Amino acid sequence: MKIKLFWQPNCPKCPKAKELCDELEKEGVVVERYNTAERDGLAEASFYSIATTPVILLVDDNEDVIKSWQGEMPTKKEVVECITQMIKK
Amino acid sequence: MEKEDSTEIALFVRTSSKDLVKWNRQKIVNALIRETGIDPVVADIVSREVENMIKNAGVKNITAPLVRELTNAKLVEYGLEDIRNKHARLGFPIYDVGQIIRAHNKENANIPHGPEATNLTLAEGIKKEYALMNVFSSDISLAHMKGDIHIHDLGFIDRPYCSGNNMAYVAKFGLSLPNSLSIARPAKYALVLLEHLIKFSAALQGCFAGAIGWDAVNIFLAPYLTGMNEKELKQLAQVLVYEFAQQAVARGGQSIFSDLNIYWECPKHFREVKAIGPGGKFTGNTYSDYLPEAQKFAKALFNVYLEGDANGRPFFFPKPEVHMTEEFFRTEGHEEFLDLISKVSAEKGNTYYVFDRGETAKISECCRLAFKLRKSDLEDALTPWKMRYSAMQNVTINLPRIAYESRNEDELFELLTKRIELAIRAHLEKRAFIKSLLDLGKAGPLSLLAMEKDGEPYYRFNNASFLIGMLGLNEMVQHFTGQEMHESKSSLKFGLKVIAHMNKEAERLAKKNNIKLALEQTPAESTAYRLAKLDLKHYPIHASQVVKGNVGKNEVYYTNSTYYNISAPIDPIKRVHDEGLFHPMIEAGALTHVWLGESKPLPPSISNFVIKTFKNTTNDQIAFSPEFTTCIDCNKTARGLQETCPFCNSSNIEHITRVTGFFSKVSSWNKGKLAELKDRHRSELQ
Repeated sequence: MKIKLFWQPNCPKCPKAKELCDELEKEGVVVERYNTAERDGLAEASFYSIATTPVILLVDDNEDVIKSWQGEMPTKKEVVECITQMIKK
Repeated sequence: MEKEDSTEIALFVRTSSKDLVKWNRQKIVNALIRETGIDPVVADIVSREVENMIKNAGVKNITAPLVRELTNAKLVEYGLEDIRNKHARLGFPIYDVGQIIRAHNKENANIPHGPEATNLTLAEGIKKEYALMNVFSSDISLAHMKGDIHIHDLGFIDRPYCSGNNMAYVAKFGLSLPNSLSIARPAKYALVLLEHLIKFSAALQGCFAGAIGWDAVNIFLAPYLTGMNEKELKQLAQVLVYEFAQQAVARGGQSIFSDLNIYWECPKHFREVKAIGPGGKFTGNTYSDYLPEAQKFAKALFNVYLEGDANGRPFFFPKPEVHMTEEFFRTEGHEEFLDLISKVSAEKGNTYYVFDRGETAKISECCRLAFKLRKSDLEDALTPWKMRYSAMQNVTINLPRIAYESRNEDELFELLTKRIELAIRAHLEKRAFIKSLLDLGKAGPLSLLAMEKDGEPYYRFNNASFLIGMLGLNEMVQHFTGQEMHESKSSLKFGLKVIAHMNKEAERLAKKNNIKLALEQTPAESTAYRLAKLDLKHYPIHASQVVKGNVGKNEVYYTNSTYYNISAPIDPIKRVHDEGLFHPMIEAGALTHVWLGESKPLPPSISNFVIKTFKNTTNDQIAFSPEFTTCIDCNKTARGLQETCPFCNSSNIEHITRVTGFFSKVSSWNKGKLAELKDRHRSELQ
């Protein structure tokens, strides 16, 4: 299970999403960051049909989306709870 | 001395202007200097040697082409290859001309065989050679010949690729074209407006290599339709469809590759625009005021498609493209209209569903080309006759070959960038050539495009876009990762990375070169066959592992553009979803086919499929493609590709289905497309 963050430069809500991901990383969550203004980020965003930023995805080991947050970012607590619930399942 | 030389051989030369003239060696010298800029002393030496060759060989029948051949041979002997290229004669061997006259040229399934078609093939052949020798730099021509890239429509080098137009131009200015024998004032009646539209399309077809698309046809025709009943509207719709569909019969040569963009709602950018009506005058209303008439005509049009032609066959042209928007689903009566166009899909397959999500607005045409309307284009909507768009050229990158030539991922992307740069150079050279023709103005070959009715030329040169196409992404990925795109997430992701690279490089290089550049899914009617064959020749070990079709029979092809393997038994909604992942990166047009074959889904199944596609995918456009057998003896049409007519058992039959983005007779397809037809996985919608 891991987090995928999709961001791009000059995106007003992206800094907050990045901060959240930094905090999650400190808690031991694996975070992958994708700048959608660049090739690899665009490709990954296309795979998940993501057209706007910021987007945070929680994906399983098979790369399938468990939960997604778009625009309005969740709190660290919400994400951690979601991950904990999934682990228990 | 010169006089003595020129009378030395007492022979006559048959010239290319069908004349007999006395031998004159100086003519060789003059031609060499005029055409190549060669040093006069060298020209003199070459001419004397040619004269000696003719004298010594005792040639009885001297023709101007023979003299030129001998001169060119002498130039090569002296190592003067560049001079020889400038002095070359373009044309066909006699044997080839005989073949062309007798046998069907299957490069374009849209051209039936006949004397006009033969003229087209011969002219195209010469212009193709001219383009490769004279318009493009030698390295670009070589890249095309080798198959690194494919420069489309070389035989139409003196025309832009295709166009998107608005019928407000015809409504406002009438039919007043350069070189025409009579001038028509703006139409007062709907029927006359349609006649003007069709004749103007035919004229435009002569100036473009490919499609002639018309935006929002029902919206712009509507002000002429007030007070007309259903029967009259259907009659008009029949005129529109039949006149476009039968142009090729009347003229020979290529059908007008025509596209009608249809809206159920009045598009946002036309809602407040002053409507042009009878006589080319403003009616005092806006186009949104005529929405009821526009909707009635849209229904009449699709009822014509539903019936098909006199034998129940689908119309090949004009192609109807219905724009599906959020507003479509909010507009009253959309359920009934969606049911009708879905019925047409089920019965005849004609409907194209173009998905304009969010604020997207575009004009669709050709096999899948789309002119996405930018902010300045939408501002032009207030003067809709100015909405004239064009793609000047399409250059396709042979993707599998890049995989064959790369040892690792870095090399692959580096090589891909180099091929894109090469394609852009080809674009810039074509652009310069077209500009030189347009600069000749009214006296030039593109006088129609140079005409100025609204203060600027019909062809808005600076607004033209340039297309970068792609072929065989699936085979590139297969060679590089060992799996086809539908076989694993990682291979699909690699495919997406390749297209993301193309998208980003196109964006970067557009800025650098100050041109509009966009990716398009190449329809690849003949390119898929040509490049697969070339790769089997130049990279036999690699290509034979991934090429599709039957290698033994030389019936081979690469998978079109970014498509999944066409034979893979994939659920159609998954195919539409997954192929749609690429579409947002391909700004200038993409399409997914749902191959129906013999099956005939219920219209509600198609409607549901379309709604799901709109809501749950990023797919840009879909079409449902049935197959038909039409009997030439009993004139009946049956579903599926049958070996004999199911009604009268005759074997005198024609098969009909979509070759790429349009319907055509299977008998006119090339070997690659025939192989693809065998492989197509047909779906049954539930």
